[in-house]
Amino acid sequence: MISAIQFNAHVSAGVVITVAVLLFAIFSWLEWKRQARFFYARLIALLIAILSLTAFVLRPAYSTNSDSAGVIVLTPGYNKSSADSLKKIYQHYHVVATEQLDNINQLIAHKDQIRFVLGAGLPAYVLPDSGFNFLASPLPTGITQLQVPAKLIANRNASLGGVWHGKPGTITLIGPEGKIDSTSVRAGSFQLSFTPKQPGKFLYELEIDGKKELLPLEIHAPRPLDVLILQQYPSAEIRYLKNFLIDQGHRVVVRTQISKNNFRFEFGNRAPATLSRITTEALSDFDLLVLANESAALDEDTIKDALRNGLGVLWLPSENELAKPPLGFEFVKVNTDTAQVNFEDQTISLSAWPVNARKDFAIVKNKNRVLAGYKRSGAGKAGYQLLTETYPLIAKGQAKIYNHVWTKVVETLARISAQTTSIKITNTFPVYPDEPLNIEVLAANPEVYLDSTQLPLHEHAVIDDLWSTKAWPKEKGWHQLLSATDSVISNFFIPDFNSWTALRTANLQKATKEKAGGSLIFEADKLSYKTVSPLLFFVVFVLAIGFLWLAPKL
Amino acid sequence: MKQQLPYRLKQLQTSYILIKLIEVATLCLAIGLLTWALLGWINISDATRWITTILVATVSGITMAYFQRLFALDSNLLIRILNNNYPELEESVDLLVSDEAELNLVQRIQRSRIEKKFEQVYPQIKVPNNVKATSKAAAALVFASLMLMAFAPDVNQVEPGPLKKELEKLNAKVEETKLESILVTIAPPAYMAQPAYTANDLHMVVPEGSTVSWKISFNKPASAALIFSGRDSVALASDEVKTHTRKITDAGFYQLVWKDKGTWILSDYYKIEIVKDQPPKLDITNLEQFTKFEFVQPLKVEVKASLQDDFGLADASVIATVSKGSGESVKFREERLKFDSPSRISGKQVQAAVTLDLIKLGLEPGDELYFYVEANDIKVPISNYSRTETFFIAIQDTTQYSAVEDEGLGVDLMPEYFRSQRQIIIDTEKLLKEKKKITTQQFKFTSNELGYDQKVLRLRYGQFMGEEFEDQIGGGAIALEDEHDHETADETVKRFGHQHDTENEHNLVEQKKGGGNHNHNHSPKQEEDEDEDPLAAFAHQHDDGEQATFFVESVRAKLKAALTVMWDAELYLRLYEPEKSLPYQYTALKLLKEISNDSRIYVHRTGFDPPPLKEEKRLSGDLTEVRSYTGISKKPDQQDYPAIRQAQQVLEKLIVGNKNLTDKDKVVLTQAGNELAAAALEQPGKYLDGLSVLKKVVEGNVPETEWQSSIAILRKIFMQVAPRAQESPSEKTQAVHVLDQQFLKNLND
Repeated sequence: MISAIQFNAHVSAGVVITVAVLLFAIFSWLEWKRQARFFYARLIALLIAILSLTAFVLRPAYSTNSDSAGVIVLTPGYNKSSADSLKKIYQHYHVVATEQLDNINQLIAHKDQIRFVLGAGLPAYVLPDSGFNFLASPLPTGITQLQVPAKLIANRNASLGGVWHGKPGTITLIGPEGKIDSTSVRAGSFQLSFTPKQPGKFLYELEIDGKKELLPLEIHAPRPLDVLILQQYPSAEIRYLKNFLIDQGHRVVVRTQISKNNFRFEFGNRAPATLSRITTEALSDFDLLVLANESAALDEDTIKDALRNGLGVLWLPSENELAKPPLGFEFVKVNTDTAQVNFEDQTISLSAWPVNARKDFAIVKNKNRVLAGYKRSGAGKAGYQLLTETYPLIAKGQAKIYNHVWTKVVETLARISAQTTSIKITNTFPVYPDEPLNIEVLAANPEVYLDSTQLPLHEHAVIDDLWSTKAWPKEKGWHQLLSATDSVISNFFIPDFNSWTALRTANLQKATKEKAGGSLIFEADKLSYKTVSPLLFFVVFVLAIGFLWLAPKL
Repeated sequence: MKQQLPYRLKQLQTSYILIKLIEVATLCLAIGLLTWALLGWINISDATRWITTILVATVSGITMAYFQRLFALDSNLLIRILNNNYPELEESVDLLVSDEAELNLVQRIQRSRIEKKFEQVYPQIKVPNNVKATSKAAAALVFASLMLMAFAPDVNQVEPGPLKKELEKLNAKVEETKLESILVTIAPPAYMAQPAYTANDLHMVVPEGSTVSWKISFNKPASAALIFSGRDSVALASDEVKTHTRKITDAGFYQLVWKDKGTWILSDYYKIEIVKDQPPKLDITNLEQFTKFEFVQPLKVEVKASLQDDFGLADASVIATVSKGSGESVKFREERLKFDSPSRISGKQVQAAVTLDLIKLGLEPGDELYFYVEANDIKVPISNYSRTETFFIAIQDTTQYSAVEDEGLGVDLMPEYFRSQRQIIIDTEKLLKEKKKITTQQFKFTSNELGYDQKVLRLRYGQFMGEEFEDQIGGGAIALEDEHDHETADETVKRFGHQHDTENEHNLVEQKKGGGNHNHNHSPKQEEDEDEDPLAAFAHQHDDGEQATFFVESVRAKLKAALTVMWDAELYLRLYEPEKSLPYQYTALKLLKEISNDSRIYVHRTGFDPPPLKEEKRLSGDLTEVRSYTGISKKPDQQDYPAIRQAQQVLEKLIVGNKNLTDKDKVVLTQAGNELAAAALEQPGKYLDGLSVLKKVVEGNVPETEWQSSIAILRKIFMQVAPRAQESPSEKTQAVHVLDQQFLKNLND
């Protein structure tokens, strides 16, 4: 091999050799002049001394038999015949089967020696960054992809989807209350919908062909909003909206104009306070401002200012305001004053203002007609609701539709409240016990605990306030990440080793393939060099010089 | 021949014995069956029943066999029978069986004779039997036993099977103080007139108000208590036998606890369900809900009612309200009438009747009587009450067909043309009378004019149906006015006659345009616009007329009928056939009259006396007393079950396989148990099992095999108990990087 020896000189090899040749020339001339015995022997000794001195500086390294350090990793599901043929080709490679290891973490020590990975693949943290080959096994039967909504809120319909790999069958979602939804699946994607009833951390189950997988879901309770409603005269629509919000525990203030300087205030779920003037400061306490049959022309600047700072504004127009809408809304006249709204399988007809706004983001929409929409303004959203009379839905026993429509409108527009800390787990589900959990924290001075153990964090080199860390949860079950500074909590679930095998395999294969680069190159074996110990050269040098010193005395 | 003889005799003997045996056996079985059936009437155990039956059958079998001499059979019996029954054998059958060598000559001769005769007689020989009699007797016995079985009382049910099992279960964990027996006696309330009975299960279903007594005996004195519905505990006297009596008015559950060697033993929860005394069921059988009578003497209405109650009726009567007058001066008078027959209401089912003398009640033409039947049952202390729907009896007002303008109503519903239908009738009648005197031209003109009047009247009434628009009512007064003069008679007939039934009758204006009478030059664009109905953009389109709700449903239906009849009345006037139109006009008048009377019910329902207004204050614009006002409202208190919610989280932890309950978990589960107990009070059947399971889980008494299923039961029940809330908006939170925040804020600037 050409590169069997290489030099790791700190000085350029040319300079060293030139100097050595010069030194040899000078010293051999000097030796010749000494007129002593053993001239040729002295010349050889001098050559040896000079060479060892040169080697001292050049630091030669020889290539070791690098092939013997390679590792072939056999993970579950590997193809036996490919493993055998690899073993035949690379007889000196070590073969490690992960199933025989106590813990997969043992591989970390030999991370860089991994040359081949066969079967299901390995987690990213035990893989070298590149330079190995991956022979993937076919995916086992099971759910190979799972999409669960990032945040589930109680009493709201949610759907979860995934990909099933296997024979056709029926997949059933089982909650604490029993069977919830089921669908028949062939190989491919599936969708299940459910309405969680209680907030909390629950273990649902996905059952297919009698095999159950625990599906951890955290259901959040709705967080109350602060809503300010301004109206010039009372209307049934607002009365029902107010009652709906108060019943759901939201903090509501309703201001109704009685005469020029007199107002009727109603405080729902909050203590009375004076609020005769609308200021930016007063509005910063609220998440949503509802302008009902009131364009608040006097306070428009204040409102726009608050809007930019994140306040949500919902405008419920009255007929005479439609021609000249506030807040820069633009409407186009249409012919019908009713609109169809779809909810689940139902289509209902509601009365609506005969206008349309095509440019805005839609909240409630029917084909091309925007029935409730909004436009962004700074950090806030200014929206409108063009459905005029939704309250009869409650009387008709269709309160569900009423709640759905208003939930959507109110929630979309309301201020997104700023959280000081966000904790994000970047791993994909499932992460088994004793595996590293990558955590990303966005906060100024975070202090994060995993189940009461504080985690060390290190800040991103370039981006301010972005911290990351690794944690190693030891036990299966629910765990909690807590930010001590503002009690922001993030819950996650560590499943048992034998669960979600198909999903796990799919994830591992994906991760492994990403690192392996996907192509198979047998010449990719790396050489490693071993530096020759300088002590050897030193001894040779001393011996050679010693002979030179001794020779004249003999 | 000779050789056959002994065999034949043997055969006869065998068949004789066989028949006898079958007879005896049949009777034997029948008697056994009868005994079995008879024993079904007495309360004895199954084993005793079987043994007795078999004994009786065997004894009777042996007896019969003895009397049939089956035990004393000898070969002579057959000889005697043959000798007695067959004279041709000359009393010499015995010779046939004796040894030939022992016989003397005569005997031998006789024997050979008889042998021949026997050969002849043999086929006719019949063994004497009682088969017929026996089978009759057996059939009778079988029938009797079947009857006995069919009508046997269920005596065996009294056996307290489940109770014993329950006792064994309760004693399983006990070391010293064992339960010996529990006797639960349920005495339904006295008015139900039902005997007291012993419950055979600790879960019980009792009539409301029953008195239940528990008699609990232990093998030694111990302190014990009964806990009712998880909160009301009754300590029992520390004797061996304890009793407790309690009146049960609400559904709930109870639990027995006692002390055994210093530890308290807690029983399962047992539910107490209640069978409520139902209120009486009443029905008026012979009248329609709305009945109308002509005013004729004597005016009597018989009201028949069927009254029913599960335990007995105490009282019933008819409440009658007479309404007189019209408009603002409507007056009401209420009377309570007793039933004529029977004079006293009692019993579980009564057919009662009363005759209402409408004249005596003071009804006059145009007045109405509203009545309903009410009844109470014999339940104590508070009886159940129920009443029927209100029935209406109206006396038709035949004399007064003039307008009744109900100004007392909040809205003046009666139009100024109210009188016109009557007027049109009078005019039509007059026209018919004068038909011969006037010219055809004049007749036709007047008829058409009357048709027009009829139309205007119809439009007026149409407004009350919410038919505000011309296109809904049909034609349109203005459009009609326009054409009225240009129209030939033919056109009129064409328009109002033939096209009356087409769908387009509501669009006469449009049609005229289409007909090409006015040939304007429309640009294509204009025409397109007009196709889209140019009015739509400006018109204030309300609900469809079909759904307008000025009136209650029955009135609406009547008004609609009146409008339809008016259409027909108008049609025939326009066709110059006033005589055909008249019946329709009368019908319309009658319907309108009824509508005006119906408004009274409306008054009765919505009558309201506003406080008097101070004249000097009206419209003065004085706002000094108007002030700002502050109101406070709160989210309604809902049963929230906080402990159950916490317990749900504990269960989620347990389901992963962790079976160790911390003390904190136990506290949470116990509190959840209290909340569940409160819920179980309302629905013991639904949640009681869960309560038992919860108790076991907290005490740590769940076997390994039942652990998963127990947790599953609790999860399910907790989920069911906690109420489902409504969809509600939620505050969204987000940690935004300072840079992002600034970027968003300045985005639109």
